[in-house]
Amino acid sequence: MSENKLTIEYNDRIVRMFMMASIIWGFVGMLVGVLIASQLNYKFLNFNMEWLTFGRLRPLHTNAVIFAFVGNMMFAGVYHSTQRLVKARLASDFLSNLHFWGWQLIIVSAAITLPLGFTRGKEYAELIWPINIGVALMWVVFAINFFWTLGIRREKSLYVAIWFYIATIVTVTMLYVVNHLSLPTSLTHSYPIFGGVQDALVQWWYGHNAVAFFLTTPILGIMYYYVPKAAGRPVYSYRLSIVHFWSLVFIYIWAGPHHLLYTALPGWLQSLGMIFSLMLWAPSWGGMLNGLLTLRGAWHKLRTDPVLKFFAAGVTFYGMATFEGPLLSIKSVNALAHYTDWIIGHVHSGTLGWNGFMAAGMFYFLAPKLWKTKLYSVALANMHFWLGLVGILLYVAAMWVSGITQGLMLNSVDANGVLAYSNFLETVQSIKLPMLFRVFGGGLYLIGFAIMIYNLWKTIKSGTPTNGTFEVDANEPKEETMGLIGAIASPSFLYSAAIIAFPCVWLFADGIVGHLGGLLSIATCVAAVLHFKKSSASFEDWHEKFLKSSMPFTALVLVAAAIGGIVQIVPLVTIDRENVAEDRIQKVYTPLELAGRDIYISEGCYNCHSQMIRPFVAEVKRYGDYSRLGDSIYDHPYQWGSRRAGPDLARVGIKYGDEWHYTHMMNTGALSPGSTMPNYPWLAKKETNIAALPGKISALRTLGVPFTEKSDEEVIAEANAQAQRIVQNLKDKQIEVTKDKQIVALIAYLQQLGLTDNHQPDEVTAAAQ
Amino acid sequence: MWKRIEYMEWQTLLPQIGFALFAIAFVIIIWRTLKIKKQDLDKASRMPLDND
Repeated sequence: MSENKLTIEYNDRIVRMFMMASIIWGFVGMLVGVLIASQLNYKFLNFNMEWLTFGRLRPLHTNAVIFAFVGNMMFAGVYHSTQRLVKARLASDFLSNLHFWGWQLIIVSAAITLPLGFTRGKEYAELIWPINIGVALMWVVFAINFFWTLGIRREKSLYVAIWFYIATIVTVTMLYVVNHLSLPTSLTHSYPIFGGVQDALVQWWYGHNAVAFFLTTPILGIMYYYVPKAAGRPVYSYRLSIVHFWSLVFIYIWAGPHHLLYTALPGWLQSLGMIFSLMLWAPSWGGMLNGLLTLRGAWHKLRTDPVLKFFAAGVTFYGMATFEGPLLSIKSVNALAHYTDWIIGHVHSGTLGWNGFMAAGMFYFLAPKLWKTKLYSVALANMHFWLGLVGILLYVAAMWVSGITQGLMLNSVDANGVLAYSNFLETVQSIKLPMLFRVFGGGLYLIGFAIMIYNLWKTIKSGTPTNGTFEVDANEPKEETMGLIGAIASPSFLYSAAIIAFPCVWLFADGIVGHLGGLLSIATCVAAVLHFKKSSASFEDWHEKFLKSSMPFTALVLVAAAIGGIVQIVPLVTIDRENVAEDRIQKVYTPLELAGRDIYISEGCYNCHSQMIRPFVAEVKRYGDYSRLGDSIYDHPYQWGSRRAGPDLARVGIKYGDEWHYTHMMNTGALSPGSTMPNYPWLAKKETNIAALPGKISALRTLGVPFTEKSDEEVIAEANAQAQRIVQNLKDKQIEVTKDKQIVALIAYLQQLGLTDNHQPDEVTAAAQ
Repeated sequence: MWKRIEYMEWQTLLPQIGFALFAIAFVIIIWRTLKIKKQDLDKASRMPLDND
């Protein structure tokens, strides 16, 4: 070390730990994925065991690949690249280790609780409330460690990858907290505070943006760091990367309602979701082209360098998936594709192609550096690439065929409105072959991943764990940044805020207030021009400093990301729900029905069955009258679902007798030949937790569900009386079961689905009077 | 399409205000991006290549 030079060692140990965790969990998550895909072909693979059914394992698969595989990969990439981009070691080794072990503990907890049926019943948000708190705490630890590192950085300019990481941290915090607000009823159970349409909107605001800010923005940051690094040339257009960043942050957050097209969600929200989804085409493709054009002049390296090969394919899949997403958000396309396998295929082109290939490229890039050695086998890496690529293409093509077949068959009616395929099982039989190809494609991808594990293992064995180092000038002067208050208390910010606020008043307010807004808009513009003419550099200086000041920058990102959520969610949660419901309103559950509903959620039935009939002729003919906003107004959580591996259940109540449901749940094939639905024999053995019902009803009453006031004894007596009636019905059909069994409660729930009271909003009632 | 919800007073304004905010802020950012000096862009774009 020279006299004025200081050598600093990066914390690469934590990068190695997160990388290995990602690889291990990735394999487990994908293995479960192949298993559940196989269950849709061969139902015996559910093994008649409750913790191995599709409904319980599918959340395990999605949570494992999102939070364990991509999550750990993201942390490895963020920690590795951030240290180098800001020229500082991670601020705290303790926080880094706490973050790592805390995150792994969360994953293990999820892997235990989900198969046991402990779930919140919302997609990608299934984990129970104590684990939610753990996730929030670990995310805060990550945020502190990250921002603390930014605080001690030696490089003051924030490279665009850091912007993407900042957006990830602040936005995921906001999304996760809001969508996981719950009222606990026990250590393993809670009810979300939002219900019905509100819960649906909040869920897809979260669900869509989990894709945006957990699976996309951090990986884009990784792309902007590692692709130039691997190609040995700077990013094609830094300007484009800035526009890419702000466009995504502003637009993505609005697009969630495209998951709820043609549902009971208010029309204006559906339109907003569709329009903003279409707008996403431009920034997404801008980002893809920026990534691919970074390889200009380096394309020949793709022949020999597996890292670039994975990156080029990963970025291409980003482009393909972000083309398909807006396409599926067009209402007429969505009418065909929603609830079908096309959506599942779309998601997998993003996760396997974009996330999986970017992860593989990053691992192959990092392993030789972190263990100071050479990659064990380029040939094996190439084999991984081709197996993975063929696997994805087979998977996605199979899902297109399957999804479009499902959509066409289920929506098909003749000129008289008669269903062309009246039995849902006809579609299940028709997609058997693509379902097999799906397993084959997924299996190939998994084999490729296993080859990567072997290759990296041999690489690691041949090297020694090594931490990167860098030299800094010990006497380097500190550059001045502005801080949050400095950023706001400046003419540039105040003029900008006024130029945004006053025209809004002018546009939207009436009368004298509107005129005043107009006058102030003009006055502010004139004042700003005069001010900046006098000191021409001040706005530019402010903006330059702003981009180097992480806290004000973070605050702006949060505001940008929050706008889309606020304008959609606030109007919907502040309205008088019951007064805007249409002509009917949901009956409040009886205690036994509520117990049955909790069993329905616990078994993960929503993974295959929707409860939302869209206003199409085919759906109304097949399932019953289209779903109203009032039909699920008291559902905490909502259960509209997002796919139909089985038929919609919104109006299945009293369609069949109690004995039909009993026989069907014990042996689905007996009444539905060819069905892929697992059997549920344990429901006739396990007991319903009747004692918990008074507490659950009390919690729901707190959340606004109008349960009648009853004592605990009355609640339990009512549940037992209803159970006894169902037991008697079954006995009349020669089926013996005791009233305390879960199947009885589940039948009670299924038999009331779709039953509503006639409802007149207050205004209509008043007008009639 | 069926009318599913009554429009209620101020709530209808929020999307319009949000959209206006979004559009204005977006225009400012694009304008600032176009104004960035070339040497700053070059420096920023080379940052990943600066170290190991």
